[in-house]
Amino acid sequence: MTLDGVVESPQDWSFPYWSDKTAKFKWDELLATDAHLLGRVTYEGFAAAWLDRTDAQGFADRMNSLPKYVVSTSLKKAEWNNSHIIKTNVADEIAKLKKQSGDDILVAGSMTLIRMLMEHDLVDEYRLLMYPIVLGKGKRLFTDGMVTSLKLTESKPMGSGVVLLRYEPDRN
Amino acid sequence: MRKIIVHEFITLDGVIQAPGSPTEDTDGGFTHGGWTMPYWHDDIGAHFGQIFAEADTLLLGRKTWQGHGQAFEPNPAEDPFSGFKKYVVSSTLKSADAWRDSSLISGDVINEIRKLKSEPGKNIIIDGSSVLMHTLIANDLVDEYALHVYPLVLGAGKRLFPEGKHVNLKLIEATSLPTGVVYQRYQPA
Repeated sequence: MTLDGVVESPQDWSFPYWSDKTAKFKWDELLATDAHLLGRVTYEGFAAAWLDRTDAQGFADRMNSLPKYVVSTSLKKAEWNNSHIIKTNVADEIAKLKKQSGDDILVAGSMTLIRMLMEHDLVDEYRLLMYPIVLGKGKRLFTDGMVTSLKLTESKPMGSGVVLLRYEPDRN
Repeated sequence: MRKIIVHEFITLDGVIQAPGSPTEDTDGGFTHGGWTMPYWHDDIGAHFGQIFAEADTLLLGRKTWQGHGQAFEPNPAEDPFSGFKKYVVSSTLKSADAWRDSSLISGDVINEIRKLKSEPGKNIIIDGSSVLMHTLIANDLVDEYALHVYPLVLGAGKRLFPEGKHVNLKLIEATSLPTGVVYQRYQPA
């Protein structure tokens, strides 16, 4: 996320700020995750990016092998390995998914889905990597009309000017 | 050259409107005024103290200047800006008499502010002043952003950064306070 709240197309602006700390954070996060929950647009982008990729660390292998839940009313087939489509009763289906035993469910990108998750109070943690850049255009994570109070659980400089901000919903 | 230091209280969605009280600024039907209050921590005052110690001038838009002036002109003893030279930018004000030590900038704003920066002196602080702020940011006149980032999303209100302006920054400091506010300072990269 940029300082002006934009989360669209991070591949266009985030790479110059990549650091060892950010890499370790993303890897640890992936290890603590046992399912991806994605909106259709992000799902299709991820599938295209990861499907044929491998790397020494095994990041791509893990991305490819973990179960994926894609929320979409239009998607007919989910071709990426281990994918499941959630078409209807989305909030209930996701609440059910959360009740299963297991590790974290990770949502990335997926702005439309995140709005719906927030409206149904289904988000348990926000991990924002705040980049030292102002774009002045692009889709924002928090769009007009969203109102929420959070609790800061951690803030940490990640090197190269990025700050990790972790929040939980303030349900009090 | 003196620096222009922007200080703002800001939410995670970039809102800076009416941080201090419900009646401060209700433009656009804004109903969340006073959103900083539950998160006060003495370190916020200490951060102000550091910024003030390195500054001697205040640059404000008309509304923020009028708000400060109404609050402090009758109570000089409580004026945190006492001893500061104030500049108010406005195309409608006739005079800057409503708050002591104030001068009016009414035309050729960019050049007047450039001139101010090149004069000898300490730093120039700007807070609030969302309209003037957009002018300064759009013209690359800001030398430092000191932001108190609040753990809030308000969904509406005046925002710090203008549409259409790209700015690359470098992080100078990120310090979290026990109340959930993170103090983040940036300078142009």
